[in-house]
Amino acid sequence: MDEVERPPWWLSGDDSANEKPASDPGEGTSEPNWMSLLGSLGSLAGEWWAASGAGDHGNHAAPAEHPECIVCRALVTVSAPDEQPKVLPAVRWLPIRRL
Amino acid sequence: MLLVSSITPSGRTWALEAAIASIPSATVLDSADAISSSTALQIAEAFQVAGATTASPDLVASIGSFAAVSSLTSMFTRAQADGKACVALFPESVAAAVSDLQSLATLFDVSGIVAPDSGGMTEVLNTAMAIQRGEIELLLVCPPEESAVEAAMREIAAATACGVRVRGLAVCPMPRKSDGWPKFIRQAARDLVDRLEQGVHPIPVQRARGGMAPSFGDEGFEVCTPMVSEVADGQRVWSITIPGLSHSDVAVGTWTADPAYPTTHVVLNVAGCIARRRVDATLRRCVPIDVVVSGDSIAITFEPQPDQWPIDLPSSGGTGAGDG
Repeated sequence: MDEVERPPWWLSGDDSANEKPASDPGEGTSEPNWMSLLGSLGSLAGEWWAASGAGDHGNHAAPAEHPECIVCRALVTVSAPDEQPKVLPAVRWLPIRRL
Repeated sequence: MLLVSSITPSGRTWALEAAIASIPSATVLDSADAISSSTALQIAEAFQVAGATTASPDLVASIGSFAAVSSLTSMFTRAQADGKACVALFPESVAAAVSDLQSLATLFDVSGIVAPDSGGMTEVLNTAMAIQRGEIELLLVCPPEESAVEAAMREIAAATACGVRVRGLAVCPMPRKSDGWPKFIRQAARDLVDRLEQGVHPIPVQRARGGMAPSFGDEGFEVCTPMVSEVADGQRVWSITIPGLSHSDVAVGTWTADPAYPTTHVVLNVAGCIARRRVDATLRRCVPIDVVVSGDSIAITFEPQPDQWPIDLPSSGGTGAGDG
């Protein structure tokens, strides 16, 4: 059988092989709405970014004077080595005795 | 929902036959459908990079994991919507998918970002809870072949460590005299089944007979539940027995999701799958001092951390409940 040489899927940009038939718009789906989930996370991130005041950072000459700006706060944190980030500890793997 | 899985691709037909023989009235869900039509594929496509010559193995593994978790969640959601007994052929390792799903659920739980209408998150949590309640079972099929039997024991160990209820393990197909197989090959296959039975005891193991896949009743192995017992000086021993553990690599650790306590979870890495078991209120105030693995059992000795106990309250006489 002759095989047609095709470029790798990630290079071709040809997604015809993965095309799905158009679904009935009225048809319900029981699958998790992953894109909606990711979309909400992206939207939340956008709102958080806007609320942080980071967009105005270009006008901030002294980071310590702008605690409301997330970029300034990050710069102040990075320049203060005593400030330890509060993170959950990693798994503490234990030595095993085998009997 | 009964998930059926096969160690080898050629055993998938046997796996479905065994599942249908076990639950004749069950609806068969097509997992391939769930994967191809799921948004996971769209997300995978979103990672296309024009001109790239390599793909990161981590990225590929992540997408694979995402697809498996998405598939498992989709199938359970559909099974729940049907409200009837369902059988689903799962083409990947069930243990690995459950482990990843539980990690995702733990992440949601710890981060506290679950909203009532958060779609996929809620469904991931529902599926994780269904596994905990034993509503999602595993029926595994393997051929009577040395390496497949070893792989089956590891898969069973990892799945039960994650709390999956196992309905049974089918060995298919067995070599038959009527098909011309010599006696020594038939005997070797029967010896392997015996070894498998001992390796995953008390999980039911049945072999194909007369060219027919075996059926399993619903008396499968219950979810592995840890026990906590108090020993001298307020020390407590957390123990669990996991079928197939002695044939698998194992690592044991502790983890805390709450900085106020030294230990909130026992973490097991069994055959490469991570299982997290939440500990009770008493063990949360203790630290591990010793781990013993013997055969299929793990025992962790905890001792009370003094600054976690009020002075007047003795550290002995806790609740003793496990996996709360």
